[in-house]
Amino acid sequence: MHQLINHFIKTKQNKTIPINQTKTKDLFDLLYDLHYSLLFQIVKQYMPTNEDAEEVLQDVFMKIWNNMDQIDMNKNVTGYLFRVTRNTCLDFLRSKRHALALETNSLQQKNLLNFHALTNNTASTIIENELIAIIDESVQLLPEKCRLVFMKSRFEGLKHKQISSELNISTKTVENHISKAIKHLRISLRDYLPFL
Amino acid sequence: MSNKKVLKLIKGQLSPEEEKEVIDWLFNNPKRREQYEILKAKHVAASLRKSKKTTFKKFYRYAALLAVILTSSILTWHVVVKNSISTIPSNSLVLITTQKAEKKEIILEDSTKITLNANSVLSYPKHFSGNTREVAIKGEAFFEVTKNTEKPFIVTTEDGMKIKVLGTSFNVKSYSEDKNVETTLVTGKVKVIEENKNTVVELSPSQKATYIKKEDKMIVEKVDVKNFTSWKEGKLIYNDTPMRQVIKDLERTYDLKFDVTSNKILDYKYKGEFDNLDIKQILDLFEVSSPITYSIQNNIIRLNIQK
Repeated sequence: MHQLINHFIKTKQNKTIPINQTKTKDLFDLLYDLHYSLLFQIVKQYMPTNEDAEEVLQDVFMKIWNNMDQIDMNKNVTGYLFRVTRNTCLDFLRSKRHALALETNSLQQKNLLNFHALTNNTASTIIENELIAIIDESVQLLPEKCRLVFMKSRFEGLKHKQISSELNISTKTVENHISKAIKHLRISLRDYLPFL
Repeated sequence: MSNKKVLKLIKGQLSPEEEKEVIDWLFNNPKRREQYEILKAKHVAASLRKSKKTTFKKFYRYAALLAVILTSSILTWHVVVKNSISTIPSNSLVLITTQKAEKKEIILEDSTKITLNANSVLSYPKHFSGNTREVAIKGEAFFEVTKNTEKPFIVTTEDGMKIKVLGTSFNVKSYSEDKNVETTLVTGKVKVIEENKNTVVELSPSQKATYIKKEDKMIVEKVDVKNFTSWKEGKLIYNDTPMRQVIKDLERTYDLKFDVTSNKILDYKYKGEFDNLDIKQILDLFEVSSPITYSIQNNIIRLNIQK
């Protein structure tokens, strides 16, 4: 699935990618790595099958990729991702195609039950908050300096230059910290990655 | 109904019969259903923490199982693992289809964005090798093509039409059951090539090329592009469009059947806008804004025209 998205946005190996595009792609990859398996864990409990859950998430990340330029990293990105996911699930359960594709009335009933469960705001908030907490903890596990740089860059939207003058380190060091942070996060979240 | 059973439903530990019984009961007790929804959410939230541990366990179990099954060489193991993560071989063709009442958005490797309308098929190579980017379409799609002057982007339709562009946004409508193939240009430049006679028409923005299949001829006219592209946002806009076309669009967009034989209705030119309406609202609008009335029998919509 990730490869699929990668395929959509892959740029030719032999070409240099303009810097802002690299940044967008890195950011997307990071969002994807941070959230995919956790979101999958949520979605599969509301969808008829795991394949359906994958299909929903594919839609979600396509939407995210298409809106990368409008995503405000200063705001609660995890919450935004969760809301997009929730709406995509609702669309999926609402679409007539799936209602018709279902063979039995009891499956339809089950879908309807899940549909109502997802529209329940109180219930959704419980899941959303837990998701945000887990992602937060992964970020908190980063070495302190590294975390500081990462948060400033990704969540406060500061340019490398601004960070380097603010923390009195070279822009090269800023870049190193950020790529280290991404590596770390990938490793700490790897526990969540489904192995099949 | 015991809480135990509700909890078992959440954990998926009930037989289909029991499941049905509990779900029916929940639907009849809205208050309890609300409690169930909260309980389920708590369970889902907790499972996020657990997934960390269980996937590990699962992985080892899976690995052990595989090790037992694959008592063969390391090589086999290697192949299995590799295959499970390898991508589709390069340059295979990707086929994307939409059903009636469905739309999809597709991004190609060159970042070209395609919005595929209902009941359509799009095929494209996984990688654009060679010196063109060629995709094929049956049905309707809106293209936002990434500019690459070295690699023209070519859209092929079933009816012997080719649309050649360098970087632009345009709409192609080529349903096999429709009388025409339409290309509407929003920005940039396109060449519409009719392969049969090798006619080439170059369009400027806000122009539409209509190829009339039966007469084998091409008409170019200036249009209001939003009438032909707003389907992406769920809007259908008609400006003196023959009802036969409106009906075809509605059948595809809403996945339903009309039964209309009267030419008087089929040729009636309709003017109006359906902004994300459901079919009932649209039919009511017909009655308000035209002499057309409707009746529904066994899911088939019949239209009549007042004399």
